[in-house]
Amino acid sequence: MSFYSPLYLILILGLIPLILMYLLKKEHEDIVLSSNYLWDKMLRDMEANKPWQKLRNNLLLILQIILFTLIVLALARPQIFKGSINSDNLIIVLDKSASMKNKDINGITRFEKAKEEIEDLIKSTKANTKTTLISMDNKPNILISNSRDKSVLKKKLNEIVVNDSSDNIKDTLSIVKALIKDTDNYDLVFFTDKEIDTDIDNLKVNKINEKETNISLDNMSYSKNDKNITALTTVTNHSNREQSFDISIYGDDQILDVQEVKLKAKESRDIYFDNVNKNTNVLKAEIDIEDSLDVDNSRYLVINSDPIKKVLIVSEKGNIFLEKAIGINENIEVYKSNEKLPNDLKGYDVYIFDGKVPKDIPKDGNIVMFNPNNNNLFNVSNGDKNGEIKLINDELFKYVNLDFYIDKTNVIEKTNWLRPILTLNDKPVIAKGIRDNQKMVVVGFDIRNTDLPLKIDFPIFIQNILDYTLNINTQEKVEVLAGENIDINILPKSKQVNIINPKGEKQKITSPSYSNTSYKGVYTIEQVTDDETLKSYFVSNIDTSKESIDIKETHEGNLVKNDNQYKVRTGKDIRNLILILALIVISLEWVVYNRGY
Amino acid sequence: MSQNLIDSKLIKKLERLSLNSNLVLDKGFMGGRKSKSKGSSVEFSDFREYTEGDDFRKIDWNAYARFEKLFIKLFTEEREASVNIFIDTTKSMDYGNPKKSFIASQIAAVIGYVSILNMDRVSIYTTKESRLDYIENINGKNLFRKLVNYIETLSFKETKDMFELINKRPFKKGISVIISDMFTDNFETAIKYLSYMNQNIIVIHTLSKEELKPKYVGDIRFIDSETKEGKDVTITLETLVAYEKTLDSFLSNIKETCTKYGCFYSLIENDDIEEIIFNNLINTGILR
Repeated sequence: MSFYSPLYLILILGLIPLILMYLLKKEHEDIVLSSNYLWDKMLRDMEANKPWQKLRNNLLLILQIILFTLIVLALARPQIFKGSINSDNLIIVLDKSASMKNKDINGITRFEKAKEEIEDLIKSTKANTKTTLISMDNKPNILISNSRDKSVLKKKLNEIVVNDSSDNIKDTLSIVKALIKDTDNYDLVFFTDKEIDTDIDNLKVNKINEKETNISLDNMSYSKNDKNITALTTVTNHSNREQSFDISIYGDDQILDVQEVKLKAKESRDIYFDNVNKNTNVLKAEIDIEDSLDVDNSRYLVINSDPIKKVLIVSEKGNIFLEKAIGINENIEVYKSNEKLPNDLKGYDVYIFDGKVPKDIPKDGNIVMFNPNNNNLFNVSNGDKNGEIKLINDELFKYVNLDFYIDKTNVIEKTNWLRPILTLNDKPVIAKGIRDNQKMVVVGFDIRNTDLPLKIDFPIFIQNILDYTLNINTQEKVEVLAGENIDINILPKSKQVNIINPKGEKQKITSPSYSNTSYKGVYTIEQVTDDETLKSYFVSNIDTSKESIDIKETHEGNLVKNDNQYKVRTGKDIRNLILILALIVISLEWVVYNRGY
Repeated sequence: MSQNLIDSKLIKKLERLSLNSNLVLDKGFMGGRKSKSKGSSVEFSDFREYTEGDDFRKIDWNAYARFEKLFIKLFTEEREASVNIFIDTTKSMDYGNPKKSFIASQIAAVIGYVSILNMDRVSIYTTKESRLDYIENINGKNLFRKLVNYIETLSFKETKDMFELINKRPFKKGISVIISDMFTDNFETAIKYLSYMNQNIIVIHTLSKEELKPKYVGDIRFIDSETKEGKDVTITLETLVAYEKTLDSFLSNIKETCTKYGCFYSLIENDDIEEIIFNNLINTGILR
């Protein structure tokens, strides 16, 4: 038994005046007797036998002492069955990872259950216990430290929201170790469904888990062929019974396919979905079942447009400058051709024609032309030897110094879809434009006739051209596990980058490292440039290897390891019981007073 | 006193009673009791030869006819006994319903009357202002009124223990009647002294019902009527039992002392004087 507010026990000193009052100032009924001769004799006899008779005879006093003691006890709020939290420092760690969403405890989630228990635990601590509250997902977070204010603790506790990430027990333990470094007088309680394996003393793990009936989607991938995509997802039945359910697959929120799956207990199976449209951006697989943990019932996948860009350079003599400048990009594969091209040329992201332009310009990919001849799209003519070069401000010349010399150039005849960028005597030398969704950049001179390749600005210029033509807007990493960091590939031209999380909240980011991925789902990256907003996606999925699995599975054959399992035995406040006892004593006293025992 | 100590009806009943005593007297005035002395009474005692100077009226002529010698018939002289009635007039006697003092007065009057009838000399001793007060040598019915007056004017408010005063003066051989509640530790000393003074002792112990069977409850301060001292007692079943025990040992102590000195003893619990006389006093052999 312990007391919530033991200070009140000092009031027990009040018994002294109570007893003194009885001894000294007892109200006696005065009765005149013939003589006290016999009573004196009697008292002498009695007192000789029992010196404590005076008190013992006083049933009323005894009852009043009991009553007083009970009231003081009630003030001190005794609690039984507690015992476990006795130290002055209490550290509570609450797991807020995805698995805590498991609804296996009488319909409420493990997280809610843990919260309830923590609330009880905080309530039952002594008034002078300093409590530190830590939440744990993929990084530990000290919400409040060394607080004696239970209302603040409760408020902080209620602010904790469970998310979809997995937890980082190792980091949490090291934080906790730092906290307890200087003291032995602490109690550490973990509220988690995971196994905590550490050498910290005074550790208590309150494992919040029961039988679960979880089905999880463990991973998802795809393979691409010419026409379409085959998606693969692994589904695992973590429960102990056979279950059957439907798996649906969605492409950009349109339902594509449904399969019925029947899984035996603990069985895991790969499910394939063929014929998924190639142009889908995001795939989502979903299990249609009511199980204990529903966050792992869906999984997302970004279909990445091929990260490797293919660039074809068509040049009769070969252009080493271009090859080198383009080749510094790791995600670009450079193909060279000086032979006659087939008519139905296709399959590249960018075609660079150095010199001669073929009759049939490829219909896919974007086009860059250096020193073109007349063709079906536009005509060129010889440019003036001397003249005024004027730059119309454009992203192609971003960070490029115009300090270069052009020996000989053609000028491009005005075409309505081509916009001049560099002009010689008001005639376009470099132009760009979009025709039938094909981006084109036309440079009127042969770079070998300039000193541009010798300048340090040349790779930048080429890179700018590639940026424009290649749509380099690829988010390289498109999948994270909830809570993990992701590097956002920010384009150099981006003015502002926003990330829209699965809840629809838009957030402007300033650093390429983004960590707010603790909710599963599709995150949209918006890159705002001068003239357009480019969108790319990444997805956050549950780490099912940690979060979906029943603890019993992870520690099979090691089940004995439950010696630090701890249940919050919330001090049962027996104040009411004591008050009832006090009432009984009062009525007893009344009876005694009336009957005069 | 509102009530008469003794009424004429009772007096008639008392005519035939006398104090029981085997006392043999050798001194004193003529009275109604046997004595060692020979004298003029109707009770024959002995014969003796006539000597000169004897009253020749006492010669037994029948004996002379038979033996031709002169014999004188001797008769026992009847003497009066002195009856000393000790009435405890301490404040404690002024208690009870009816008051012990009243009962004691009645008993004293009855015994006094009976003694006077038997031609005894009655003295009443009480305490007054811490000294022994008395009326002595009442004999003859015509003095009975005086005795009753004395008894009636007694005030029971002394604090001095009468038993301490008894041995301050001598008593003639006779009968001593002690009427008291015996709340004293000097009882035995007094009895011893009276016994030494050749007294036939009769102890009449008056206790009120409240003293014999107290019916109090709760915390009580008992105030001694004599000393005004208070005593805090919490009355519980246990204390009542203890009281009963104490009372028992108190009574048996007194009885023991009485047996030791050959006293008559009677505990008066009744409140009706006739019942007292016929149940207590006659039954215990005090009166006959």
